[in-house]
Amino acid sequence: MKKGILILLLGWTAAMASARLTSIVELSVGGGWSSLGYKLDVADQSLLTAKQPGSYSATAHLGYGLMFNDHIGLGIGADFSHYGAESKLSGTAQWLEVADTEGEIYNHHTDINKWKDQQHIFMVEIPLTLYLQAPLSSGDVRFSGEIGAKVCLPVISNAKYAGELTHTAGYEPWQLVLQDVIGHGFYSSEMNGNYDLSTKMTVAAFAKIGLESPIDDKQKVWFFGHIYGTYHFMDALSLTDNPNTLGFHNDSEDATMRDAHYFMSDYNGITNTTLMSGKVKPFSIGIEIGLRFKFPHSTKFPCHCDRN
Amino acid sequence: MKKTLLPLMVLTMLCGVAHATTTEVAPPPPKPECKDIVYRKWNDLLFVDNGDNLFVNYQWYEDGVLMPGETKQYLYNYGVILKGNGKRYYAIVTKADGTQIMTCEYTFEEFNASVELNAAPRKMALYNARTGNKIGEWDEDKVPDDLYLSIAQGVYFWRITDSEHRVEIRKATIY
Repeated sequence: MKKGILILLLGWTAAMASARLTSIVELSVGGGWSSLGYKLDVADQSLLTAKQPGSYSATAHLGYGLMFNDHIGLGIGADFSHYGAESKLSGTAQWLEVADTEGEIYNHHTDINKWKDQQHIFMVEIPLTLYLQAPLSSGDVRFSGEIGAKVCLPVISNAKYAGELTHTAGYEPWQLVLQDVIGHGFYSSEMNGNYDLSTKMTVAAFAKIGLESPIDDKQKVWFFGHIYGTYHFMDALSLTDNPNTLGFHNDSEDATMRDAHYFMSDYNGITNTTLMSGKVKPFSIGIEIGLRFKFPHSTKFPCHCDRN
Repeated sequence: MKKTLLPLMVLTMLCGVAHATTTEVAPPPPKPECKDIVYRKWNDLLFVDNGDNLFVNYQWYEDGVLMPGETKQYLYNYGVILKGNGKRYYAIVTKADGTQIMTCEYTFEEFNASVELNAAPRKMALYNARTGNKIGEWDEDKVPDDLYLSIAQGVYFWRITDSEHRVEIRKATIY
């Protein structure tokens, strides 16, 4: 079925090729919203709330296309795109029935405030595009659509985190809550840092829909605007085999504090914790604007020979 | 879960001597009208046992003088060592119905305990009691007469093997 459609499409485009070929060169920039597709699961931490507002998306595109007629064409290009995600944690993480530095059993609570973990992936992408264009009922404004697929190679992948932590201790037998007992591991701290994401090549599909309009009398330069959407089918993240549970063991450089929090993992990014579930499949939506330069190929007329 | 008074342990290994002593000084006897609900954690924190969830307000006193701002369930002097300062601490606690109770006084006393070994140990190893991690190990020819270690507060235990291969475990609480 798919092969048949492809053959028909190729045959039709080949037939159209004999008509009015037009080369186009286009460049555009765009921006909007993006996410990396993974989910945060805080079921093991009932006092914790996770939100994923997403991040900005940005893309720059340079492309070449060949229109077989006024309606359809194929193109290739190069994109530089950003996909991002943001995870926000708030509430309380808890470690129940752990031992303090005296060996006493207590419940450790870490209040988490303004915790943000932002991941950014910049990709170089090679799109293969099917152009779909059509005149509208009036004027020079035309419908402009694109669908296609692109191979995406991450070139910069990193993340940063920041937030405030308050460690407290709850001793149930005495109904005692210790806070600001700084010498024994119950303190407030601000934590921030960066970490690298281990990413890999993906394949994405994209679609764009919008309008184009000429901005010169000869209709060689066109302005266009699209709403775009991109979805990556493959996991862009190379996950570690053994991600850590949520922990902030490294929020202090003091060896005594680190010893007091021996039961925690280091925080090395939200993507390295068991809170993250699902695969990292970036997607983005946004608006792009650009210019399209159209170069009609010269028309070949039949030769009229005068013999004399 | 009532805390007992634990001595500060100082390890001194005197080769050829053989006795272990532990000195424990009890706090002053409570006044008849006071309630014995103040306990110590570490060497710098006192707290009121509110296990029955009776108390809603606290005010701490030092040598009978009100300590301004010290109105938490616990008294922690932000790293100022209370141990051995000889001062008397107590709290006036208030129940939900407004009834006030005075706790018994608590005084940090100096504690000193030494552990002297009967014979030169063949091997000694120090472990963190909570994590089980080995802090260090000293073989026969490297066991010093006096051992000074810079380690965090906490509970540790020594595993001592003597020259006749007998193993002895000794707890050490460092304040």
